[in-house]
Amino acid sequence: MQQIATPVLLDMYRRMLTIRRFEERCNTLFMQGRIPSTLHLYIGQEAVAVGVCANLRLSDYVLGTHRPHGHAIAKGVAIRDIMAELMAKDTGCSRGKAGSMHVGDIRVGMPPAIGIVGGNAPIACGMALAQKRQGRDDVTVCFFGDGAANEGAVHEAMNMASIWALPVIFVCENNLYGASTPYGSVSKLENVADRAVAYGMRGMIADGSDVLAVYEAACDAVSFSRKGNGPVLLECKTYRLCGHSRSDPLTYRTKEEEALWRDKEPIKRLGEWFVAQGLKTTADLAEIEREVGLAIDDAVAFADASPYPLPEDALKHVFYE
Amino acid sequence: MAMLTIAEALREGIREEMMRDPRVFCLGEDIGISGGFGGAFTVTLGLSDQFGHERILDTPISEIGIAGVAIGAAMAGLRPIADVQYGDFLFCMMDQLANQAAKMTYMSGGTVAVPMVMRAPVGSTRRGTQHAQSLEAFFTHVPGLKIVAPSTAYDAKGLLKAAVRDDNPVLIFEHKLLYGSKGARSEKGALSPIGEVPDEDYIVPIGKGIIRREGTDVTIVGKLTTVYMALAAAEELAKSGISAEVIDPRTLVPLDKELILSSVRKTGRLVVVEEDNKTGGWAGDILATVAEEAFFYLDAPVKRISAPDTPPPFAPVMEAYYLPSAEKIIQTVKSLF
Amino acid sequence: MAHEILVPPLGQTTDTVILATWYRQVGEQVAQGETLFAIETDKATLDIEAQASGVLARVLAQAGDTVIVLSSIGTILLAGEHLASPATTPDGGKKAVQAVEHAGPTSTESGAAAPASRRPGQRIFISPRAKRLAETTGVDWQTLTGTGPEGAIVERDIRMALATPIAPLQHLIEAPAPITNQQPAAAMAAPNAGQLAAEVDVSALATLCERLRVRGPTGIQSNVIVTVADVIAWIAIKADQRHPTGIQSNGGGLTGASMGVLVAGEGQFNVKVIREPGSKSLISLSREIASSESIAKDATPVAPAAPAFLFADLGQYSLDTVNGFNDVQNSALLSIGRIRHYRDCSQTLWVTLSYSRAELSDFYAAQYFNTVVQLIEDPDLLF
Repeated sequence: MQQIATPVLLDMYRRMLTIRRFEERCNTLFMQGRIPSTLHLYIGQEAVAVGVCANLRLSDYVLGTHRPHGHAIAKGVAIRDIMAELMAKDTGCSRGKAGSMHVGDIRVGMPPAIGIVGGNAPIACGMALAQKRQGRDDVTVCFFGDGAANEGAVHEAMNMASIWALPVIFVCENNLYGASTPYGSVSKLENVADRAVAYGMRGMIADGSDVLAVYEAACDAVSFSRKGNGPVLLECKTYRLCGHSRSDPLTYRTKEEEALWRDKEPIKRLGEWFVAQGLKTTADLAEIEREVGLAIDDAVAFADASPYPLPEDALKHVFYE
Repeated sequence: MAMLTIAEALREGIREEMMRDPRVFCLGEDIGISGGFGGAFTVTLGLSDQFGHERILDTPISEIGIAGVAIGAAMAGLRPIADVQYGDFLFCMMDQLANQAAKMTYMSGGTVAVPMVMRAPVGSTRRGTQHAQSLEAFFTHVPGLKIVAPSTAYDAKGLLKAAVRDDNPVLIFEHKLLYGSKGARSEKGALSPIGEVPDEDYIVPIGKGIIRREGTDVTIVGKLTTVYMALAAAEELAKSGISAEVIDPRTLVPLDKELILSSVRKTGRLVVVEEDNKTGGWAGDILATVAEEAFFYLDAPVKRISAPDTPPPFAPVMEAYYLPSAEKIIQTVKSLF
Repeated sequence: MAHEILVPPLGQTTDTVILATWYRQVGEQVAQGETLFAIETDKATLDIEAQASGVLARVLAQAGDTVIVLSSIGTILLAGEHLASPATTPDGGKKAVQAVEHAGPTSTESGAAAPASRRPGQRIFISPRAKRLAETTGVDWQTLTGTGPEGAIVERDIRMALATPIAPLQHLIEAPAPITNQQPAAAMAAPNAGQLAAEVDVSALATLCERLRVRGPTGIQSNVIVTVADVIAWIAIKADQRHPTGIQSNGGGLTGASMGVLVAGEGQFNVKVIREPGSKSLISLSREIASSESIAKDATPVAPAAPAFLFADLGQYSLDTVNGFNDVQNSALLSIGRIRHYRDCSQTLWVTLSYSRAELSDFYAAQYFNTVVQLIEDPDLLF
């Protein structure tokens, strides 16, 4: 662990906390009716997006899923822009056209997140193909869930990435449930990563609740792909501590299981590690907490102060001009 | 100026665009294999010899993957020309075309472009239900896709070049009977509309239709093969003193609506001919547009000649019954006078 | 002559009113001045008095129907008259049908019984294009037989109607005049006949008529409706007064003689004689043209004693101009065509002067014609 520079560790802590507090605030705003749509929150999975994206450059690409706030914050999309989009404002990252499931900002290497399960995998291959053709040593990260692992699009994409040695990191966030369906009931294999061998690509597994473990695995995978060695399938075992969407009563899993995962949730874990290592004091962490809170207050204030799009703006941007 | 078939014109268009712009590349099944077909209808034949297998990229049989790779590559700065062997396979990639390609620009608030081309052969050619459909209407219904349907060699090359240069996803529907493919890939009953195609660079602008024959008494709108049926019908109708104007929109989206409307304002009658089945179709949409916007210029009910609402049948006798024809057009036009 | 009961133009914002009730039934005696029927406008219900005495012979609209102003909704027969069968009154007999039919869905909305003239299953189909053409050219399409798909009236039926002169005028009009913006050449049926024609702007004249209609000539409400044709007929007289030796080579102009107005009625063509036209005011001329008196009963187009100068409003027969003039008994015919409405709100009509060279020199004809045109285009010069 010592080889990760302290500023990187602190940045990861700050980003994870930002995602957590952002999602909690979203939930509050949703309950207040200020976010006019459902939300798929990233609470509990922060270590995956943050641990992976800490290895990326601006020119690398990230393709998110229908649960994309964490991916976007980790890749560097401004939380003001995300919040404004969720609150359906004209200043949102999609000008109010797309909402929660499609946040992104191509300027920081994240196109609109793809809300169709598994739909982003072939697109990731195309973006990686372009990176390769253009002679860039950039990579494309495709996040997908354990549910998407069974989509045909993902199989086609992994096969293509493999035969053409494309710089794609397929990051499977295995949070154990596709909506309410347990992963074990839809796959004979214990690990999604075991499928990598079928495509002739490298497969890896990391503890998705440990940001340091994710970081190290991703570091390995990203540098492998950057060097032109082809794609990697990295499976991160994780857990969402919230429901699938805002209408999820969470009656399909046990309180014991939830408690188990709550105990090893990534932010508390890294905080305790900081203190144990003597890198930061509890007071230092409280200061970070305060700063993160201010940033989220600022994002909400920005979104609040922003105008709604004009109704007829619905007609714009059907085609690229 | 060369006399080319549509397959050859498309090939020349692809060749010129690939020479002009290094970002342009092709991907699809069986398109560049040495000793292979050059695509299902020979359009890319020989191009891999010139450009290599990186730029004429043979894919696995993975239609979702083909579409997704084209989309992603386009988003990241390349100009892909993808194709499917038969338009029917577009259904396999429906999510990628309808949910991803068509909506990416919108979902990004206008910041992400998807400059890709997807070529798809359509039309009923004795291949039965899953290799003979006309799918245009499925896609004209999807906002965010541009759709062209060239019926001549000149238009095929010009529209292909315009499509490659467009910053939006463009679907090119090509008709199997119009390719003029030769040898093993030639088609029974093909029309082979060989035409003059300039050697120099030109494009046919997307969104511009053309009047194939001028007339004063009835407007007949067709696309792909039905343009030729309409022209044959017009020739025959002229002998009965009926002057038919034949319009080939060439681009289905965005439609050259004004061309059709101004023709109907002149003639007062409209017949739209398509190979696709009737319900929820392309022809119906044009009739509706004319009824909405030129109603007071109509002198007779607007009519469409479409296939019946059945899958394309295989047996030639049934297929002939199913498809529109010059005779059906003549009959319908005469019923309007 | 039978008196047509017209719907008075009381609503200034609408061309239709609702027939509220009839106070007399068919067959009952009606005296001029007594209340005959009531109409409803968007503002009020008004009782309308009979304009003639006689028997209410028929009604063409029922209570509740929406009717067009100035259309006929019934007939009063004077003593000794009989109701002509529809076959012999192609014009008058159809008018009420038109009034009712034109009302369209409105009459259903009013909840009234179907108008007597509309039989079930007898709906006339007309293409939107044909209807539009009929409305802009003033063709009464309800009287036409369709030749289009399923018997619908189509554009060519309207064009046909525009090109066919109605029977009574057939003898006068040799061939349908082409509707064209070109100046027709002097088309002559007889070598000694001359013709001058021009498309003339009547926008100012139409406005003048509208003003007269709203305020009356003296600023008081008047029940006299002065039409564009009336004013042009008056202009024909006034122009002649300005060229006393013009129109009649034997001197004296029109003022001292008489003028014939061509009218179609009772299945044939008649000449209504206006005595001493030069002494008449615009209102009295208008009233006289509209009245049923002074019609030369003799059937021939122009009786031996008929006036030498004729005026014809061809517009009411959906014609623009005559093509040729071969009636040697008359010295000249001044005819006007349909009023055409243009997008820029201007209105025009064709004015044609057909004359016999034996009676009138080309020089005087041209001088007279130019004066007529000038007065039509700038009616302020009249006053």
